[in-house]
Amino acid sequence: MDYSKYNRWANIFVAIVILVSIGLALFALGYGGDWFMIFMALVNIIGGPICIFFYIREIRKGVFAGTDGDEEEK
Amino acid sequence: MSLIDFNSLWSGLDWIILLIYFIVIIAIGFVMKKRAGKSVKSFVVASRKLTVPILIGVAAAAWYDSWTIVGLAECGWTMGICVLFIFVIPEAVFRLPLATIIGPHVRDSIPDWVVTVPDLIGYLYDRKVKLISAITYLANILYDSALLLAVADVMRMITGMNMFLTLIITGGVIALYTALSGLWGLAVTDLIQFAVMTVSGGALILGIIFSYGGFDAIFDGVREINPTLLEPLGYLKDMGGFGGSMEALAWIISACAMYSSLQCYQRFSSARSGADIKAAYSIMLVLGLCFSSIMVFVGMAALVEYGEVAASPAEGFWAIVFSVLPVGFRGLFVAALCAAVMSTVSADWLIFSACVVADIFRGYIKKDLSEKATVFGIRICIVVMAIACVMGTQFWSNGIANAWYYLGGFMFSMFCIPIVAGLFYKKKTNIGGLACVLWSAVTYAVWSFILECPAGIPASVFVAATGAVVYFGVSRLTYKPDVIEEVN
Repeated sequence: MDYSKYNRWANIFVAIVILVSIGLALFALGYGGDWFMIFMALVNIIGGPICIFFYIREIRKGVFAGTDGDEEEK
Repeated sequence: MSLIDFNSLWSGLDWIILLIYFIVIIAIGFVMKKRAGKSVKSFVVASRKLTVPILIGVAAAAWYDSWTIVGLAECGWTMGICVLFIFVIPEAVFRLPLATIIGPHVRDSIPDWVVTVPDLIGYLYDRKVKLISAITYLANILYDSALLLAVADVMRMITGMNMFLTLIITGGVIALYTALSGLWGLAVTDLIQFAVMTVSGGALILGIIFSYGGFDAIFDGVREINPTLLEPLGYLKDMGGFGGSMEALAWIISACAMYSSLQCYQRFSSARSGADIKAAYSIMLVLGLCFSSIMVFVGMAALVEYGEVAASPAEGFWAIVFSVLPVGFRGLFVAALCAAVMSTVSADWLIFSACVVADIFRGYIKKDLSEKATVFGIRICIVVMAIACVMGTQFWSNGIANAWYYLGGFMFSMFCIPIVAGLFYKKKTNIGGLACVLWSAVTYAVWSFILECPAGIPASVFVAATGAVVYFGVSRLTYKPDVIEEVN
């Protein structure tokens, strides 16, 4: 399986963590406005359901079905 | 004495949502019972086949729990923006190497028989270090007590029931669910629980912005009550220990506690591959950082609105949740708290029980114990953990704000060096690992309880620093290149 796309996604989200951390520090110090909190709220409101969408897609692919590794060992 | 009437803020629709949530969770436990009961590996690490979307759920449930909701809100109330600078931001940044380097390394390089953290320590060192680690990890049950207390407290507020009764009910539900389904159940429900948490948190902060006219009004209110709450290091001003720097360091250490978390390594082990871990954990960190900081600001808003009428920061927090969110959403938010508690506490009980039965009992006392008997033993042990956890809630009667500070600091100072250095340090020795774990366990107790943190230096700071010296010093002295090469 090609995992390079996972590494690419990981690198992007690592950069986002750093940027949000900087934004958060600035907001706490009084720079910026409510738009930053609205952004964080939207990340939460949208992020959870997006994860659910992909989660359901994984279930349809059958990640919880099939033979377990431990059965193979037996 | 509280002046807030929670019963009037809680509606029938909220009850319905909460009850549906509990019914669904227990039903999933029953459905997953058969799959989870096959073997220890299936029960504890879901047979190592979880992919990115599912890992996000199980990882977030391990990294962000009810302390993130109620505990951080309490910190926002008592510490102000300082907690962002000494905990929330360091936590997100310092977890990046764990998510992108250590997690994938553990999954891809460690053999499949390593299922629990004591297994990992046993693999890195020897059976003696593994035994001490398995026993010491049980102290973390006190952290679970704090989480359980958070959900029992809100149940007490909305039902008017006795606190002890709400503790028994919530503890019983979690024990039943965990004993039935193991990590398979968690894998199925964690993502749903995570989504409930994030959506509720986002809705809450939007509600606060629109109800109170934005954050400028909230910051002005905080400034009137206590201006130091808006200073980055204001909370540390009155702290001892080198002008509060030791206290700040202790918080930063607790922010790094995930490096020595049982759950963290268990979740790594359940992944399909290291690349899945890297992607899932970095995505989850973005969501978690936003969620954590939201809770701090909610705590500050609660101080402004309910600082004079609430009996405690936790009550003020729930008052603002119930007054800002619309009917129905309140039930969803309490369900989110239950979700967070259930996923963290149930995973902890699961792993602690696996440590006791698989690592200690089967490893040292009855080595021929069958897989089926081991799983049965784990289930019995989960019930015992639940009872211990309910009893442990007595430690947090003054609030849970410091729960992660104490327990996270303890876990980090005990295990971070042996685990992380054990994974990467080429000159590690078994004696070095043993000396470090023993030194840390004894010194933490002596420094905290007998010497009572001399010079204002917190135990986690002192033990982490001296433990590292002991580990590397003893490893260096006892390292024999020929022996190590032979073992490898």
